Amino acid sequence: MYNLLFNSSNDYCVFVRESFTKVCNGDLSASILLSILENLTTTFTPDPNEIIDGDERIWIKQTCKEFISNSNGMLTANKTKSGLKTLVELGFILKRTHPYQKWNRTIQYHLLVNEVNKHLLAIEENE
Amino acid sequence: MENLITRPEKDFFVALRNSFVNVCNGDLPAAIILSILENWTIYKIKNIQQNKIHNEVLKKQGKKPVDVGDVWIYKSNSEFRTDSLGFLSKNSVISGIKTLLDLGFIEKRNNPKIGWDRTLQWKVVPEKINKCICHLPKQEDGGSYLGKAIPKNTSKKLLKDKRSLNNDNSEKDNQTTTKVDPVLGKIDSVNVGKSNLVDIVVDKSDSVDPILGKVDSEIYNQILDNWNSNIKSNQIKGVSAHRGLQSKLKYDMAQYRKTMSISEAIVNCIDQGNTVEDINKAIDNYFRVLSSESFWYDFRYQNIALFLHSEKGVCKFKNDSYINTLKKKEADSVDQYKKLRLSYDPVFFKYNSSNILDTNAQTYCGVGIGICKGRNIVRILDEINSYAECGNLDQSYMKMLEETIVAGLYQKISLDVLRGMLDTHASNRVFHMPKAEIL
Repeated sequence: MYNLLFNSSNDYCVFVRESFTKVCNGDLSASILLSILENLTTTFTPDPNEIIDGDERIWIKQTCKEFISNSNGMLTANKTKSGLKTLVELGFILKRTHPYQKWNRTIQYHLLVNEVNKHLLAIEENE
Repeated sequence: MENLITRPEKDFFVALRNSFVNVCNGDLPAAIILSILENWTIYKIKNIQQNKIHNEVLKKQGKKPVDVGDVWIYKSNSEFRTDSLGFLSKNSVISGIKTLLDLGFIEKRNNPKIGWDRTLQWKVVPEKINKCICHLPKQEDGGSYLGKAIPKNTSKKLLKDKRSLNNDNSEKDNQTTTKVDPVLGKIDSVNVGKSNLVDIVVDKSDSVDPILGKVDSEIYNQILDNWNSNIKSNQIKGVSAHRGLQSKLKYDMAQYRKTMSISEAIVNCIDQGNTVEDINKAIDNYFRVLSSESFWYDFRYQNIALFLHSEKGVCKFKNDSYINTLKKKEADSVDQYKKLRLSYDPVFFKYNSSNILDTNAQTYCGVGIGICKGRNIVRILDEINSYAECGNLDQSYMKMLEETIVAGLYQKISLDVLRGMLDTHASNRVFHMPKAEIL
């Protein structure tokens, strides 16, 4: 894309997509979180020690603060909570705590890509 | 990068870049608006290029060329809200635009062709934004802020971090290559391969502040230190010393609610054509004038922002010729009597037009001071032109004068002047024979 302003390769960017907002029933926070989770899933490098019982699904460890940081400040703590709740209710993400380290309270998220794509296609067809 | 989730065609999006948030001092709405305006400007530039090609074709066909267009973006508040996908509210759009205008990142105008059109038009100033972005500190982890809190709105932390990081970076990489469109004058990113772009070099060696964009923050601190040290050394009262560059200060005597930080005030002052040396010289001169008794000037600027912002501040005090005009004249310093007396309006509220004491006023002085005394004093005072002449007065006159003034009957001169007259008279009265009573 032609850039008007200087674009460093290190520059972190958050996208708010119209299609994501639609698929999340207009929930802006959920669409931002979906965008962040997609980005993190794409750039995820698996740790072989973390793979449990042949489960090779990508689980993203992310705290609320990290979500806020990754949103470039677009999210607050409450918006993050409500956005994640929306995503779980819509069936776009799964969540769990660490399966072995019980003391580890950081929740892990798995993005159900197929589920999101299915909804996106449905919206596109309807339009 | 491969996308996991499918993208519908013509999917509209808002991209919030971390660098935009940083250059907008953490103002999120401003960063989003900047992103929206950038996208629209790119769209406009593409349109212009397309129109130029189209015009060449029309020219060959001998037809009239179409209007190429410009990069001004026509956009109302509600359109900004729509473009932000509902992230921005009405007020946040207003505040965001204000921030961008204050930072000089965008320009605004009314519709030049249609006078009644009140929707403003906006133009991005890429040169200024690119300058700020180029000088932003690099992220250690490749740009992502994973696990790090984004600093909230503007504030000290951001400025402080940037100041320190800017100093570190200034030595390492003094030059950054960016590309400029020679036709449109826009700076493009390095990684975009456009054939018609010309390499330019942005020199960082002049240590530009990443946020305020003019001079290094060390120089700001130097100016502030100069101000504070002058107050301390000269023991000036009524002028405030300041702790940090981010102190919000009143900068206009008339608009007491408006404030700006010291660094902003310094940048504004520099933008008006003053150099850092001029500012330091003006501060030194100002305090020299205030502390010395040989100058009549005694106006106190309560803070540094007022001094920097005022038209009679730096602009005047940097000139030595102006300082000379503030010196007291010799005659003034020798004898203040006439000056003080003339500045003191004669008030005859207790005397009528014939210099006769009103009967109502007699209660103030009692029986001791009569009509004749009042008349005599007025006559005597009219003849006196300086303190020195008081020595020629009779002792009894002086006594009368003192009684009358202390009693509040005659307000032509103040008690200070009277004191001076009495002192002078006391030193000279040996030449006159004292009289017990005049009446």
